[in-house]
Amino acid sequence: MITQTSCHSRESGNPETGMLVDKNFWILRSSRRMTTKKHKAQVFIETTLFFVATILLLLMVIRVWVWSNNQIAARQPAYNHSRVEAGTVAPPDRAAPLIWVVENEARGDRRVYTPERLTRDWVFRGQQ
Amino acid sequence: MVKAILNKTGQAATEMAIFGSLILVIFSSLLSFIQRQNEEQYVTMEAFRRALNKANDQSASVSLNLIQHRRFADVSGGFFQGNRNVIGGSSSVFWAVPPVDPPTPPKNLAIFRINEDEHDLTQRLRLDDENEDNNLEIRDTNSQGNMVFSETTNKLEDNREIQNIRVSGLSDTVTTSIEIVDPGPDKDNEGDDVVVETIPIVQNIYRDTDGQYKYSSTRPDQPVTRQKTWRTPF
Repeated sequence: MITQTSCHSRESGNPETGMLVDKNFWILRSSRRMTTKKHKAQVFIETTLFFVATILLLLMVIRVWVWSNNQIAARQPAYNHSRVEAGTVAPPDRAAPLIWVVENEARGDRRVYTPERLTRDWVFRGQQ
Repeated sequence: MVKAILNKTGQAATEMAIFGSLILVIFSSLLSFIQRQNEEQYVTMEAFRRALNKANDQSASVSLNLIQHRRFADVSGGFFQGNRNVIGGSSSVFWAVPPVDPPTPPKNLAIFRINEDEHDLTQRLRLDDENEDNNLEIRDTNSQGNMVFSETTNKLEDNREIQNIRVSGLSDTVTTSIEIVDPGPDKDNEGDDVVVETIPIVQNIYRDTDGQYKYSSTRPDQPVTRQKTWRTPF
Protein backbone atom coordinates (compact mmCIF):
# COMPACT_ATOMS: atom_id res chain seq x y z
CA MET A 1 0.00 0.00 0.00
CA ILE A 2 2.71 2.45 0.87
CA THR A 3 4.60 1.68 -2.33
CA GLN A 4 1.51 2.33 -4.44
CA THR A 5 0.90 5.61 -2.72
CA SER A 6 4.46 6.77 -3.24
CA CYS A 7 4.13 5.96 -6.97
CA HIS A 8 0.91 7.90 -7.10
CA SER A 9 2.56 10.91 -5.53
CA ARG A 10 5.32 10.91 -8.10
CA GLU A 11 2.89 10.77 -10.98
CA SER A 12 0.19 13.19 -10.08
CA GLY A 13 1.45 15.08 -7.06
CA ASN A 14 -0.76 16.26 -4.29
CA PRO A 15 -4.39 15.95 -5.43
CA GLU A 16 -5.47 18.80 -3.18
CA THR A 17 -2.88 21.41 -4.25
CA GLY A 18 -1.78 19.99 -7.60
CA MET A 19 1.84 20.30 -6.54
CA LEU A 20 4.42 17.60 -6.45
CA VAL A 21 5.32 16.94 -2.86
CA ASP A 22 8.03 15.08 -1.10
CA LYS A 23 7.78 11.31 -1.39
CA ASN A 24 8.42 10.76 2.30
CA PHE A 25 5.65 13.17 3.21
CA TRP A 26 3.15 11.12 1.20
CA ILE A 27 4.33 7.90 2.72
CA LEU A 28 3.98 9.36 6.18
CA ARG A 29 0.59 10.87 5.41
CA SER A 30 -0.70 7.63 3.92
CA SER A 31 0.53 5.67 6.89
CA ARG A 32 -1.34 8.04 9.18
CA ARG A 33 -4.50 7.63 7.13
CA MET A 34 -4.26 3.86 7.41
CA THR A 35 -3.65 4.06 11.11
CA THR A 36 -6.62 6.39 11.52
CA LYS A 37 -8.84 4.07 9.51
CA LYS A 38 -7.73 1.13 11.63
CA HIS A 39 -8.43 3.12 14.78
CA LYS A 40 -11.84 4.12 13.49
CA ALA A 41 -12.70 0.51 12.77
CA GLN A 42 -11.45 -0.56 16.16
CA VAL A 43 -13.44 2.14 17.94
CA PHE A 44 -16.51 1.16 15.92
CA ILE A 45 -16.16 -2.50 16.90
CA GLU A 46 -15.48 -1.66 20.53
CA THR A 47 -18.43 0.71 20.70
CA THR A 48 -20.73 -1.84 19.10
CA LEU A 49 -19.64 -4.58 21.48
CA PHE A 50 -19.94 -2.22 24.41
CA PHE A 51 -23.47 -1.19 23.46
CA VAL A 52 -24.56 -4.78 22.84
CA ALA A 53 -23.15 -5.87 26.20
CA THR A 54 -24.76 -2.92 27.96
CA ILE A 55 -28.15 -3.55 26.37
CA LEU A 56 -27.96 -7.26 27.23
CA LEU A 57 -27.09 -6.38 30.80
CA LEU A 58 -29.95 -3.89 30.90
CA LEU A 59 -32.38 -6.50 29.60
CA MET A 60 -31.25 -8.91 32.30
CA VAL A 61 -31.78 -6.27 34.97
CA ILE A 62 -35.24 -5.58 33.54
CA ARG A 63 -36.06 -9.29 33.69
CA VAL A 64 -35.05 -9.43 37.34
CA TRP A 65 -37.09 -6.28 37.89
CA VAL A 66 -40.15 -7.87 36.25
CA TRP A 67 -39.71 -11.02 38.33
CA SER A 68 -39.57 -9.02 41.52
CA ASN A 69 -42.60 -6.93 40.55
CA ASN A 70 -44.49 -10.15 39.83
CA GLN A 71 -43.75 -11.33 43.36
CA ILE A 72 -45.23 -8.16 44.81
CA ALA A 73 -48.32 -8.44 42.61
CA ALA A 74 -48.79 -12.17 43.23
CA ARG A 75 -48.49 -11.85 47.00
CA GLN A 76 -51.25 -9.30 47.36
CA PRO A 77 -54.23 -11.44 46.20
CA ALA A 78 -53.19 -14.26 48.54
CA TYR A 79 -52.93 -11.74 51.34
CA ASN A 80 -56.42 -10.41 50.56
CA HIS A 81 -57.98 -13.85 50.27
CA SER A 82 -56.59 -14.97 53.62
CA ARG A 83 -57.71 -11.82 55.42
CA VAL A 84 -61.00 -13.19 56.79
CA GLU A 85 -59.39 -16.36 58.06
CA ALA A 86 -56.60 -14.39 59.74
CA GLY A 87 -59.07 -12.11 61.50
CA THR A 88 -61.46 -14.80 62.68
CA VAL A 89 -61.49 -15.05 66.45
CA ALA A 90 -59.97 -18.28 67.67
CA PRO A 91 -61.89 -20.55 70.07
CA PRO A 92 -60.97 -19.84 73.72
CA ASP A 93 -59.44 -23.28 74.22
CA ARG A 94 -57.18 -23.13 71.20
CA ALA A 95 -54.28 -20.93 70.22
CA ALA A 96 -54.90 -18.71 67.22
CA PRO A 97 -52.86 -19.96 64.28
CA LEU A 98 -50.66 -17.58 62.37
CA ILE A 99 -52.24 -17.19 58.95
CA TRP A 100 -49.43 -16.23 56.66
CA VAL A 101 -49.54 -16.16 52.90
CA VAL A 102 -46.28 -17.85 52.05
CA GLU A 103 -46.08 -21.59 51.73
CA ASN A 104 -43.99 -23.58 49.37
CA GLU A 105 -46.08 -26.66 48.73
CA ALA A 106 -49.69 -25.48 48.57
CA ARG A 107 -50.07 -24.46 44.95
CA GLY A 108 -53.58 -23.75 43.70
CA ASP A 109 -54.87 -22.40 46.99
CA ARG A 110 -55.91 -18.77 46.48
CA ARG A 111 -54.98 -17.95 50.06
CA VAL A 112 -51.43 -19.07 49.55
CA TYR A 113 -48.67 -17.40 47.65
CA THR A 114 -45.93 -19.62 46.32
CA PRO A 115 -42.76 -17.72 45.46
CA GLU A 116 -41.51 -18.31 41.95
CA ARG A 117 -37.87 -19.16 41.65
CA LEU A 118 -35.61 -16.76 39.86
CA THR A 119 -33.99 -19.02 37.29
CA ARG A 120 -31.52 -18.60 34.47
CA ASP A 121 -34.25 -19.34 31.94
CA TRP A 122 -36.28 -16.46 33.32
CA VAL A 123 -33.43 -13.98 33.17
CA PHE A 124 -31.60 -15.03 30.01
CA ARG A 125 -34.26 -16.68 27.83
CA GLY A 126 -37.35 -14.66 28.65
CA GLN A 127 -39.25 -17.59 30.13
CA GLN A 128 -42.70 -16.67 31.41
CA MET B 1 0.65 16.54 33.38
CA VAL B 2 -1.71 18.05 30.79
CA LYS B 3 -0.04 16.03 28.07
CA ALA B 4 -0.49 12.88 30.09
CA ILE B 5 -4.19 13.65 30.52
CA LEU B 6 -4.68 14.48 26.86
CA ASN B 7 -2.81 11.41 25.74
CA LYS B 8 -5.32 9.43 23.71
CA THR B 9 -3.54 6.13 24.07
CA GLY B 10 -5.17 5.37 27.38
CA GLN B 11 -8.40 7.21 26.71
CA ALA B 12 -10.41 4.18 25.64
CA ALA B 13 -9.23 2.16 28.62
CA THR B 14 -10.00 5.02 30.98
CA GLU B 15 -13.46 5.53 29.51
CA MET B 16 -14.22 1.82 29.75
CA ALA B 17 -13.02 1.73 33.34
CA ILE B 18 -15.11 4.74 34.33
CA PHE B 19 -18.29 4.07 32.38
CA GLY B 20 -18.15 0.31 32.90
CA SER B 21 -18.01 0.64 36.66
CA LEU B 22 -20.61 3.43 36.51
CA ILE B 23 -23.00 1.19 34.61
CA LEU B 24 -22.43 -1.63 37.09
CA VAL B 25 -23.17 0.73 39.96
CA ILE B 26 -26.38 1.91 38.25
CA PHE B 27 -27.54 -1.64 37.57
CA SER B 28 -26.66 -2.67 41.10
CA SER B 29 -28.72 0.24 42.44
CA LEU B 30 -31.68 -0.77 40.28
CA LEU B 31 -31.52 -4.33 41.57
CA SER B 32 -31.19 -3.17 45.17
CA PHE B 33 -34.12 -0.79 44.73
CA ILE B 34 -36.55 -3.39 43.45
CA GLN B 35 -35.36 -5.93 46.00
CA ARG B 36 -35.94 -3.39 48.75
CA GLN B 37 -39.46 -2.70 47.45
CA ASN B 38 -40.18 -6.42 47.48
CA GLU B 39 -38.78 -6.98 50.96
CA GLU B 40 -40.54 -3.95 52.44
CA GLN B 41 -43.91 -5.14 51.19
CA TYR B 42 -43.20 -8.61 52.58
CA VAL B 43 -42.14 -7.32 55.99
CA THR B 44 -45.08 -4.91 56.25
CA MET B 45 -47.52 -7.74 55.50
CA GLU B 46 -45.80 -10.06 57.93
CA ALA B 47 -45.77 -7.45 60.71
CA PHE B 48 -49.52 -6.95 60.42
CA ARG B 49 -50.32 -10.67 60.33
CA ARG B 50 -48.12 -11.42 63.32
CA ALA B 51 -49.61 -8.53 65.30
CA LEU B 52 -53.11 -9.70 64.38
CA ASN B 53 -52.23 -13.23 65.44
CA LYS B 54 -50.91 -12.06 68.82
CA ALA B 55 -53.91 -9.82 69.42
CA ASN B 56 -56.30 -12.59 68.41
CA ASP B 57 -54.54 -15.16 70.56
CA GLN B 58 -54.20 -13.07 73.70
CA SER B 59 -57.19 -10.78 73.23
CA ALA B 60 -55.00 -7.74 73.48
CA SER B 61 -53.85 -4.52 71.96
CA VAL B 62 -50.56 -5.39 70.31
CA SER B 63 -47.76 -3.23 69.02
CA LEU B 64 -45.39 -5.38 67.02
CA ASN B 65 -42.09 -4.27 65.56
CA LEU B 66 -40.47 -6.50 63.01
CA ILE B 67 -36.83 -6.07 62.09
CA GLN B 68 -35.25 -8.35 59.56
CA HIS B 69 -31.78 -8.50 58.11
CA ARG B 70 -31.98 -9.46 54.48
CA ARG B 71 -29.12 -10.14 52.17
CA PHE B 72 -29.29 -8.14 48.96
CA ALA B 73 -27.73 -8.92 45.62
CA ASP B 74 -24.35 -7.30 45.20
CA VAL B 75 -22.88 -7.44 41.73
CA SER B 76 -19.50 -6.22 42.92
CA GLY B 77 -19.32 -8.64 45.85
CA GLY B 78 -17.90 -12.12 46.07
CA PHE B 79 -19.47 -15.42 45.12
CA PHE B 80 -22.90 -15.53 46.85
CA GLN B 81 -21.74 -12.83 49.23
CA GLY B 82 -24.43 -10.15 48.97
CA ASN B 83 -24.71 -7.41 51.52
CA ARG B 84 -26.80 -7.13 54.64
CA ASN B 85 -29.68 -4.66 54.76
CA VAL B 86 -32.11 -3.90 57.53
CA ILE B 87 -35.81 -3.96 56.65
CA GLY B 88 -38.29 -2.92 59.29
CA GLY B 89 -42.03 -2.90 59.66
CA SER B 90 -44.41 -2.24 62.50
CA SER B 91 -48.07 -2.72 63.13
CA SER B 92 -50.52 -1.99 65.93
CA VAL B 93 -53.61 -4.13 66.21
CA PHE B 94 -56.41 -3.97 68.75
CA TRP B 95 -58.41 -7.15 68.39
CA ALA B 96 -59.73 -8.03 71.78
CA VAL B 97 -62.76 -9.79 73.19
CA PRO B 98 -62.14 -9.09 76.86
CA PRO B 99 -63.92 -11.06 79.57
CA VAL B 100 -67.05 -9.40 80.93
CA ASP B 101 -67.34 -11.31 84.19
CA PRO B 102 -65.43 -9.84 85.86
CA PRO B 103 -64.83 -7.03 83.36
CA THR B 104 -61.18 -7.00 82.47
CA PRO B 105 -59.50 -4.39 80.31
CA PRO B 106 -57.58 -5.77 77.35
CA LYS B 107 -53.87 -6.19 77.75
CA ASN B 108 -51.28 -4.03 76.08
CA LEU B 109 -48.45 -5.99 74.52
CA ALA B 110 -45.20 -4.79 73.01
CA ILE B 111 -43.58 -7.42 70.84
CA PHE B 112 -40.22 -7.11 69.15
CA ARG B 113 -39.49 -9.71 66.53
CA ILE B 114 -35.94 -9.51 65.27
CA ASN B 115 -35.31 -11.97 62.48
CA GLU B 116 -36.32 -15.36 63.89
CA ASP B 117 -36.39 -14.33 67.56
CA GLU B 118 -39.44 -12.88 69.26
CA HIS B 119 -39.20 -10.86 72.47
CA ASP B 120 -42.10 -9.75 74.58
CA LEU B 121 -41.03 -6.42 76.08
CA THR B 122 -44.31 -5.71 77.83
CA GLN B 123 -42.87 -6.21 81.31
CA ARG B 124 -39.67 -4.35 80.59
CA LEU B 125 -41.57 -1.36 79.24
CA ARG B 126 -43.90 -1.51 82.26
CA LEU B 127 -46.93 -1.43 80.01
CA ASP B 128 -48.94 -3.41 82.56
CA ASP B 129 -48.57 -0.53 85.01
CA GLU B 130 -51.89 1.29 85.25
CA ASN B 131 -50.10 4.60 85.75
CA GLU B 132 -49.03 5.55 82.25
CA ASP B 133 -46.40 7.93 83.59
CA ASN B 134 -44.35 4.91 84.64
CA ASN B 135 -44.26 3.48 81.14
CA LEU B 136 -40.90 3.30 79.44
CA GLU B 137 -40.16 3.77 75.78
CA ILE B 138 -37.84 2.41 73.18
CA ARG B 139 -35.71 5.18 71.88
CA ASP B 140 -33.70 3.39 69.24
CA THR B 141 -32.58 0.09 67.84
CA ASN B 142 -29.08 -0.29 66.45
CA SER B 143 -27.66 -3.12 64.43
CA GLN B 144 -24.00 -3.96 64.18
CA GLY B 145 -22.60 -6.86 62.28
CA ASN B 146 -19.42 -8.82 61.94
CA MET B 147 -19.11 -10.55 58.60
CA VAL B 148 -16.36 -12.94 57.54
CA PHE B 149 -16.31 -13.98 53.92
CA SER B 150 -13.90 -16.34 52.20
CA GLU B 151 -13.77 -17.53 48.63
CA THR B 152 -11.62 -20.07 46.82
CA THR B 153 -11.44 -21.05 43.17
CA ASN B 154 -10.03 -24.37 42.02
CA LYS B 155 -9.38 -25.58 38.52
CA LEU B 156 -9.15 -29.30 37.84
CA GLU B 157 -8.13 -30.46 34.42
CA ASP B 158 -7.87 -33.94 32.98
CA ASN B 159 -8.02 -35.41 29.48
CA ARG B 160 -11.84 -35.30 29.41
CA GLU B 161 -12.87 -31.97 30.90
CA ILE B 162 -11.96 -28.88 32.83
CA GLN B 163 -13.71 -28.21 36.11
CA ASN B 164 -13.84 -24.79 37.68
CA ILE B 165 -14.98 -24.97 41.28
CA ARG B 166 -15.85 -21.93 43.34
CA VAL B 167 -16.47 -22.26 47.03
CA SER B 168 -17.43 -19.46 49.39
CA GLY B 169 -17.99 -19.35 53.12
CA LEU B 170 -20.09 -16.64 54.72
CA SER B 171 -20.19 -16.10 58.45
CA ASP B 172 -22.23 -13.21 59.75
CA THR B 173 -23.12 -12.26 63.30
CA VAL B 174 -25.54 -9.43 63.91
CA THR B 175 -26.02 -7.69 67.23
CA THR B 176 -29.22 -5.69 67.52
CA SER B 177 -29.41 -3.42 70.55
CA ILE B 178 -32.77 -2.23 71.84
CA GLU B 179 -32.41 0.83 74.01
CA ILE B 180 -35.13 1.34 76.61
CA VAL B 181 -35.37 4.81 78.12
CA ASP B 182 -37.36 6.55 80.81
CA PRO B 183 -38.85 9.55 79.01
CA GLY B 184 -39.32 11.51 82.22
CA PRO B 185 -42.25 13.82 82.90
CA ASP B 186 -42.03 15.57 79.52
CA LYS B 187 -42.33 12.75 77.00
CA ASP B 188 -41.92 15.04 74.03
CA ASN B 189 -38.53 16.26 75.18
CA GLU B 190 -35.95 13.64 74.24
CA GLY B 191 -33.23 15.58 76.02
CA ASP B 192 -34.20 14.37 79.48
CA ASP B 193 -34.45 10.69 78.48
CA VAL B 194 -32.61 8.36 80.84
CA VAL B 195 -31.36 5.08 79.46
CA VAL B 196 -32.73 2.32 81.66
CA GLU B 197 -31.62 -0.75 79.81
CA THR B 198 -29.99 -1.86 76.59
CA ILE B 199 -30.97 -5.30 75.38
CA PRO B 200 -28.42 -6.88 73.03
CA ILE B 201 -29.66 -9.65 70.77
CA VAL B 202 -26.90 -11.62 69.08
CA GLN B 203 -27.87 -13.67 66.05
CA ASN B 204 -25.96 -15.81 63.60
CA ILE B 205 -26.65 -16.40 59.96
CA TYR B 206 -27.87 -19.72 58.60
CA ARG B 207 -29.50 -20.95 55.43
CA ASP B 208 -32.99 -22.33 55.82
CA THR B 209 -34.41 -25.31 53.97
CA ASP B 210 -36.12 -23.00 51.46
CA GLY B 211 -32.77 -21.45 50.58
CA GLN B 212 -33.35 -18.18 52.40
CA TYR B 213 -30.67 -16.61 54.54
CA LYS B 214 -31.94 -16.07 58.07
CA TYR B 215 -30.56 -15.00 61.42
CA SER B 216 -31.28 -16.62 64.75
CA SER B 217 -29.79 -16.54 68.25
CA THR B 218 -30.23 -20.29 68.57
CA ARG B 219 -27.92 -21.03 65.64
CA PRO B 220 -24.19 -21.49 66.12
CA ASP B 221 -21.67 -19.22 64.46
CA GLN B 222 -20.95 -21.44 61.49
CA PRO B 223 -20.22 -20.26 57.97
CA VAL B 224 -22.77 -20.85 55.24
CA THR B 225 -20.94 -22.69 52.49
CA ARG B 226 -21.96 -22.30 48.86
CA GLN B 227 -20.35 -24.16 46.00
CA LYS B 228 -20.73 -24.32 42.26
CA THR B 229 -18.89 -26.33 39.62
CA TRP B 230 -18.62 -25.41 35.97
CA ARG B 231 -17.66 -28.31 33.65
CA THR B 232 -16.23 -27.85 30.20
CA PRO B 233 -15.86 -31.18 28.36
CA PHE B 234 -13.37 -31.44 25.51
